[in-house]
Amino acid sequence: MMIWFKEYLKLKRALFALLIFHAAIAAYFWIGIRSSFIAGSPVAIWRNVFETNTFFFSVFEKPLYVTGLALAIFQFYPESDKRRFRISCHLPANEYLTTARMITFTIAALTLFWLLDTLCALLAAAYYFPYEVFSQVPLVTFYWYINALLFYAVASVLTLEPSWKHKIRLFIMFAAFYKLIGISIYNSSGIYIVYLLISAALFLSAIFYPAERFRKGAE
Amino acid sequence: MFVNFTRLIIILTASLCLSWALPKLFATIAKKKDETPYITFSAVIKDFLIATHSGKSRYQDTKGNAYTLKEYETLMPFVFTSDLLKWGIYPEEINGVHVPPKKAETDWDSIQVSPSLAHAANTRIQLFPLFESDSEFTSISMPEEFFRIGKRMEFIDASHNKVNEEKSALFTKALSEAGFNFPAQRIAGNPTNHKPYDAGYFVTDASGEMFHIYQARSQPVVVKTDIKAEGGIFFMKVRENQHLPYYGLLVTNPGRVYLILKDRYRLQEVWVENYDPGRQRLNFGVDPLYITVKVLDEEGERSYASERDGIPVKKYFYKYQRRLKYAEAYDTVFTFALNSNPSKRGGFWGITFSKNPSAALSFSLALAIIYTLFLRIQLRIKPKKMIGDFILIALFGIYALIAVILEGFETVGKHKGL
Repeated sequence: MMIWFKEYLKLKRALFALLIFHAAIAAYFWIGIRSSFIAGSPVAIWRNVFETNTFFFSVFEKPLYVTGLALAIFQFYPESDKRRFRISCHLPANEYLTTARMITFTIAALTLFWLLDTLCALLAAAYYFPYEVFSQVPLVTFYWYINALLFYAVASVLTLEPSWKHKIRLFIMFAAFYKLIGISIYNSSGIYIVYLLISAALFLSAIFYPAERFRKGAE
Repeated sequence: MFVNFTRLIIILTASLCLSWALPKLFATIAKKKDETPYITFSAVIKDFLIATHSGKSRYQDTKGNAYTLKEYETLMPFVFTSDLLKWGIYPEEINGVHVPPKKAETDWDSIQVSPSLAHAANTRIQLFPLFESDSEFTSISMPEEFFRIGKRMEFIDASHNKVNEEKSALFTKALSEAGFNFPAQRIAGNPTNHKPYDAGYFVTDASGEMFHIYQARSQPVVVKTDIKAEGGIFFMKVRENQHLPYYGLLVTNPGRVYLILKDRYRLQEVWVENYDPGRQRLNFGVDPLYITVKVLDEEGERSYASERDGIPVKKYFYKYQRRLKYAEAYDTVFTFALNSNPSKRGGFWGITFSKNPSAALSFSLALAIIYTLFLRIQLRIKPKKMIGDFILIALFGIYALIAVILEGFETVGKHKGL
C-alpha cells in the first residue's frame, strides 16, 4: 500500500488534470449528442449508426490513449530523470513487487477513467438509442481501454529505459504496436478480446525489462 | 533468471510488431503493378474477352485473337451500348435474339460477394426500416421506426426511443399466423429509400424457414417462401429491379449460388464450381442473354457463363502471374504475417501463414542455428543461456532475429553488463 500511496502523491496533480480533461470530454459529448438529436433527425442519426457502424461516442477513444501515454510519462519520467527508480528498487522490498505495484496503480487509475467514460457514453446511449446499440457501448470502450493499456505499456518501456541508444532500438521494435489494435464495428467477435488481453499482458510484462536494466545501472 | 525472462518477453512482443511491419515493407518494395484483367463474356462470339491495362491496353479472347478497342466494344454490345448506338452499329439481333437498346440498358445486374461483405452483414446492428411497398407516391419515404425480430417483431420509434406497441402487435400476429418461429436468424433487404420500389425483407426464422415480409398500405404482408438453404445461408442480397425476374441472390455456406425467382419464390441454381465463400470472392453479373459468374482468389479468376435459365455455356480460368516479385523468397523468409486492417466492413486482425511452411520453418531453424553458433564462437556464450533466443528465432524466424539483434547481444542470458 505504501507504493500505491507514493504513486498517488507523485501522480495526484496529473490525475486531477486528467479527471478535468475527461469531465470536459464527457460534457462536450453530452452537449454534442443532445444538440444532434434536437437539431437533426433521430432517424438519420440512427441510420448512420446502423449502416456505417459509426461510434457516436468515439470522442472518448483518443483521450483514453492520451491518458495511457500521460500516466506512463508522469509516472516514470521523474523516476528515470532523477534516478529515483534505482533507489526505490533498493529499498528493503522485493523490487519486482515494487515495479508490479507501480504498474497496477496506473492500471487501476486507467480503469477508473475507462469506467467514467463508459458510464457517460452508456447513459447517453440508453437514453437516445435502442438496446442493440447501447449494449455494445461497454464492449467497444473495453477495446479502447485495452488499447490504452498498450499505449501505457509502450510509453512506460520507452520512458523507463535508461540508455538513449537502447530507447531508439526499442522504439524501432515497437513502432508498429498500434497496428495490433483497432476496432471498427459493433457486434465484433469476442475472440478478439482474448487476443487483445494476451497482447496487453505481454506488453505490460515488458515494462519489467527496462525496470530491471535501470536497477542494474545500465547506461 | 527473471531478467532473461523479461528480455524474452520484449523480443516476443517486438516480434509481433515486426510481423506486421516487415511483410508490409517487403510487399511495398517488391510489389509489381497489379494485374486487373477485365474479363467479360461476349454474347456475340460466345467467348470470354480479356482486357488488360497494365502498360499498353490489350484486348483478346481465350483463343488469343487480339482486337482493337473498337472491335472489342463491338463484341460487347450490352456493355458499350451507347458507343455502338452513336456509331450506328448496334446489332439488330444477337445470336438470333432481338435485344432492343432499351433492354440492354435496363436488363442487367452486378452483385459482389466476399467474406468481408458477409461478415459486415452479420455484424450489422440488427435494426431495419420497414418501407411502404404499396405507396400512393412515386418516391419511398424513410419511416420513423426501425424494426427488430426477437421474441416478437418490434417497431421502435427513433424520435422517442420507444416501442410502438400497436404496430408491433399487428406484425407479430401476422408473422405468427404465417407460421414464423421467433427469433429471426437473418434479415436480408435493402434498408435504403434510394431505390425504385420496395420489395421488403427476406427473413429466416429460428427453424431455418424463409419468409418474405413487407408492408402494403400500412398492413403486414407475410409470405412463407418454402426456401430452405441447404447448409445454411452465407450471404444474401436483395435486388429491387423491376426488369429482373428475381428478388435476389442467395449463397449457401457450402458454396452453392441461387437466384430467388419472383415466380413463386423458386430457386434457380447459378453455374459455379468449387466455390469456397469463406475464402474466395464472387462477382455475379447478368446481361439480357447471359449470366456470368467470376470466382476470384490469389491464384486467379475462374469465370463461368451460362444462359439466363442456367444452362452452362463456357468456363475459363485466368491465372494471375504472381503479384509479388520474389514470392518464393517471401514465403520462405516469413513464417507468418500479421494482418491488421480494421474497416467498416468488419476487418480486424488475423494471421496469414506462409504458403510454403516447410521452407519457412527450415529457414527459421537455420537462422536459429546460425545465431547460436555465432554467439557461441564469437562471444563464447554458453548454449544454455541461449535456449530462449533459439526457441523464439526457430518459431518466429526473421522477426525474432531482428528483435534480438536490435536488443543487443550483450544482454543475452546475462545479469551483469546490462
